[in-house]
Amino acid sequence: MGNPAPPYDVVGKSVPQLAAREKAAGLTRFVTDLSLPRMLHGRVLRSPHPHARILHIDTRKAKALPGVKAVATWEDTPKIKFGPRSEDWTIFASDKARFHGDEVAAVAAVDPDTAEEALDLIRVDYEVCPHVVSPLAAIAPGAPLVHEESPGNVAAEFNISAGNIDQGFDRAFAVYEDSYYTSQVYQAYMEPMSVIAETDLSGRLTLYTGTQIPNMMRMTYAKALGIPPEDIRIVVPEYGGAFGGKMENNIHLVAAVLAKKAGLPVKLTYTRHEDFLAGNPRVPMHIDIRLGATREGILTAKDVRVVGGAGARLVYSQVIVSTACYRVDSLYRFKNVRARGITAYTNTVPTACYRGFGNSQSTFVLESAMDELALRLNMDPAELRIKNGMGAGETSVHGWKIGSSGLKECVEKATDAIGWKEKRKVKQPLKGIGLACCNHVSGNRPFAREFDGGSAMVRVGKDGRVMVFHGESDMGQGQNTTFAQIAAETLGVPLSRVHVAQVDTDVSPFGLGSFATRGTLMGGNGVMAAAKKALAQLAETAGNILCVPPERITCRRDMFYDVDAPDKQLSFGVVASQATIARHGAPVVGTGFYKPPTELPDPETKQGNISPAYPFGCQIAEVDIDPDTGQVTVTRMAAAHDVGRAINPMSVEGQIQGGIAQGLGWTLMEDMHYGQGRLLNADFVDYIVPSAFDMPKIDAILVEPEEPNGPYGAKGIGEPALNPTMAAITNAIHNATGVRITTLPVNPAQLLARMKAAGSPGPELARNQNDRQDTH
Amino acid sequence: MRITPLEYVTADNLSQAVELLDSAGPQAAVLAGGTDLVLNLKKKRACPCILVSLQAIDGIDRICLENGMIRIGAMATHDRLARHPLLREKADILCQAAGLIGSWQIRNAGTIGGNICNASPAGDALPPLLALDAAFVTAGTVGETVISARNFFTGPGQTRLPSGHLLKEIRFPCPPANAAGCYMKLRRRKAVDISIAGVAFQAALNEEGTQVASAGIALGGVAPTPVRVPGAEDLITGRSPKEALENARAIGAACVAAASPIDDLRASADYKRTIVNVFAQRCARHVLTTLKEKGKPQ
Ligand SMILES: Cc1cc2nc3c(=O)[nH]c(=O)nc-3n(C[C@H](O)[C@H](O)[C@H](O)COP(=O)(O)OP(=O)(O)OC[C@H]3O[C@@H](n4cnc5c(N)ncnc54)[C@H](O)[C@@H]3O)c2cc1C
Repeated sequence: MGNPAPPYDVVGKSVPQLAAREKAAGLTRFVTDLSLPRMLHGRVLRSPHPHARILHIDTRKAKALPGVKAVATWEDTPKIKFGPRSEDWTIFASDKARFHGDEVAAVAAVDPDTAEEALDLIRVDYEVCPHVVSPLAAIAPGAPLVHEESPGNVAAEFNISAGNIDQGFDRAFAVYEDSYYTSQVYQAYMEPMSVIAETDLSGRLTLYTGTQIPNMMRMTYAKALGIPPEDIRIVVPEYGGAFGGKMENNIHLVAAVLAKKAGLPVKLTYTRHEDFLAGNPRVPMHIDIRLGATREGILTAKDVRVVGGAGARLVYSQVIVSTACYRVDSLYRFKNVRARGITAYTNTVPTACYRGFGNSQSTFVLESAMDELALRLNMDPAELRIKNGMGAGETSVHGWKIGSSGLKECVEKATDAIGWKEKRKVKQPLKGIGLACCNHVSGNRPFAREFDGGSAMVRVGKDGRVMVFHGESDMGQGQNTTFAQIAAETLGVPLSRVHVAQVDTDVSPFGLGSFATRGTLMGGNGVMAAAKKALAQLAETAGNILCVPPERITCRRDMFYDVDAPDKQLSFGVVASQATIARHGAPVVGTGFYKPPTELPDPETKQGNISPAYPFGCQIAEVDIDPDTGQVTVTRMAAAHDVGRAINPMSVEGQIQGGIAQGLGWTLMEDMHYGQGRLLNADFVDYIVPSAFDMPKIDAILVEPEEPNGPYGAKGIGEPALNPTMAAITNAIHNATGVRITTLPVNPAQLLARMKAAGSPGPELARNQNDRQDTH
Repeated sequence: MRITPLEYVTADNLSQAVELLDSAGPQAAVLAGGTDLVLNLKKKRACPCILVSLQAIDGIDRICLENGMIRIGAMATHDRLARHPLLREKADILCQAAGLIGSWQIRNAGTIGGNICNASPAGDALPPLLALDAAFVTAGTVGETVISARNFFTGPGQTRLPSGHLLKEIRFPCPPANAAGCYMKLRRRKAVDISIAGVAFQAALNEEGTQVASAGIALGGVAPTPVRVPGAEDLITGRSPKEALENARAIGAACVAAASPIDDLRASADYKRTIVNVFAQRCARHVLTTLKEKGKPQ
């Protein structure tokens, strides 16, 4: 029974997502569409203050309102401190509210209107405390303390070094040093957070919710609720996007507390406003960088200090800050690096994962610094990257083993596609072109706890229907389709035969979930292993019928056949049916797993190969600058990404488009604004995300070196699609204006002022640009 | 989120609508496209007891030219304004502004009457209407009143609409063939964004095509109400387009002087002034260049 070899029948083909038709027709049932009989509707009362002592909560009037079935506060919870990686969470604020939006009380009622009306009847006496929003201000002496137990608001620290930084800088010919800031931004997924919670008579809790980490979340919530994990079941229906935001969040626990108290199912769906106030936006970061290189452009040293804002409790910000400290070190052949990271408590919404996981923040900074070095060395920025870029077979400064690397090819293909050389040579006024590279992981050993691989079950029914069970999470990115393609290829059946089961922790394997760009590689390898196991069982049945040893049986294009006598054939359907009959009804089930060749980093040196594979990429942006308004238009982008073999090229291109859209938004418009500690733009009127018209034409280029550890040679794309976008655009702005952007997002007024100060062309009104605006 | 329960009436005709408004007094609100009002109801910024919808009234969305006046029914949607052949020919500035409002969906639902009565300082239709010397015809139980656009707005969300009246129609003198107009707004993205600062610039030549006979320049988003800028208009009228163009910088400066923007989340007051200056000059260049072409003997 041989492995399928290229050319493949299903893998590598562009296919629409399995759920695409239903979604396009409006038939998909997202979490917000679901309802259960006698289900109640929950609403949360939130703190209007960024920091306030809670003196008293009076819920009597709310409880008395007809239609109200439960009112809950901290008093109704098990009062256990918990957290995904910390113990600074409570279900509802206990003594203090620590951010504008902190959960103070909640109501479950027969309809949303009654629940909302009840909220107005809850009286809370607050004593307002001084607050702190900026991460730097939070760690300054004398700042108000968010948690009394954490002096200086230091929630976590991370230090890493390798080589000798002083010697590295001594050898440098050019050194660049500057301070950067990246804003707190919101994932803006289409469906706000939503959950239905219900408790059965034994006390067992079921949550129907869109989550990236059904199994890991269950462990956290078991602790919070003081019940064993097996008493929590999580079902993941189709859901409308996450981008890192949908992991642990108090929404699920508030719903669970209400459901238990009311003895009825409770649905809790955030309004968009609430989702801004109490979601899990990106960790804002101050990053200071010092970067040195020899006259020839060989990088000699990198020194970094990162201060990230956790908000009022730790979701994953401390791990995100540590990622920002060192992941990018494996993009280039660094020898001497040092980084210090501080995660600071602040009085804002708790911050967490957002596509890129700290690597996007530091990629923006490193790739800006690389352009500054290129300038000082009078070298083509593309050449500087190629000179230092990690290649296949190399081991990075932190011990990461690069199995495949298409970095050099990415730079070459992107520069060719967009005409980089000519455009850098013939500089046009107010037009600019800029480039940035990135690396990432496909799984992250230290983030996962007991293991980091993937697994699946493949069930073949008597009817020949193939069902893939996995414990990861398709949030719309197309994971189910990719898994189905892998299963179909491995079994030798058409894609139409394969279906993917909804994740249900009672049934599905214990998957770690969708994060760290791990789904395709880890989950995909798990699916492939399970499909092989199922295939072996079917081959045995086929062999019995054909009187051929099973090793000689294989399946392709839905037919089992003898490799030595290919005209001896049996259809997949017949074999599936016969196999089930022979087992008196038991289905053919293959269970398989993938154990990646990764290592937990040494706690001291942090050396260790944390991922089985590392994707790379290069993006190039072209911009037009309005000399009179400072407004930036991105006119074109080329994005070449090393994804290993693309299982579904169409889906990979979609990821690239989406990553660029989010990166462009972050670069040019997105920022969560605080005033007096309150989030001022908690809506889409003033939290601006790019529209279709803001998007440039994108050349998505797939670079496909075969990844030895990937299923059919694949690695991940989700996060790398965004990582280089910010610096590609700001490097283009620098090319156009001479202004180095060190703060995201770009503020047109400041850009204009700095252009004037730098004597850039304009603000003469001599040109005929933008005389009329486009109507959309 | 929740809309406080209220009574909802679809008026069959204008007189029924005004009678309902008159009898309910300040407790009543007119519903046009609902793109502002429904949000205000949800946020409890408006809490009327009765909503009077104008959707079913015949003819209240008419757009026509009569006796030298362009007349636009209050219920005309932005999408219709943006594409209407008569307006495209005679008053394109209004089409430009309407076409820059919101999204396709918002332009299909939102009306010019709603934009006016909502009286947001940033309302996109307002500066062009001021620049076109529009007047608003309001209807009540005892008859109609006519209020000029220049006098209609008194503050954010505040107008001189008489109580118990509704806005029935917008009128303005039809600009001559040798007129041109331009509207520009500052946006943070290229579609679906509130105007942070807007400039409307309308001008017409005399019959000989030699001089600018009339000009209307108005600003949005940079004062509590949209404002006209007579100081800038004076720099244009009575001059040839070529001479007027030489005043471009002064026009920009006059517009800045007429603006009194505030710092807010969207932009600083300073930046808004910069934008007014830039857009006023760009509009001037666009309009005066077009007029120069139109003035040339054929
Ligand atoms: C997503 C979005 C984007 C938007 N973008 C823009 C934009 O770019 N530019 C812009 O200017 N606006 C924008 N708006 C605001 C809004 O769409 C416009 O102001 C629109 O013109 C309002 O018209 P309407 O018919 O929907 O008014 P409604 O919401 O029905 O009414 C608005 C107010 O006017 C009153 N009213 C309406 N008609 C009459 C009448 N005939 N007589 C008396 N009172 C009346 C109502 O009682 C209410 O107080 C946007 C809104 C949304 C939701």
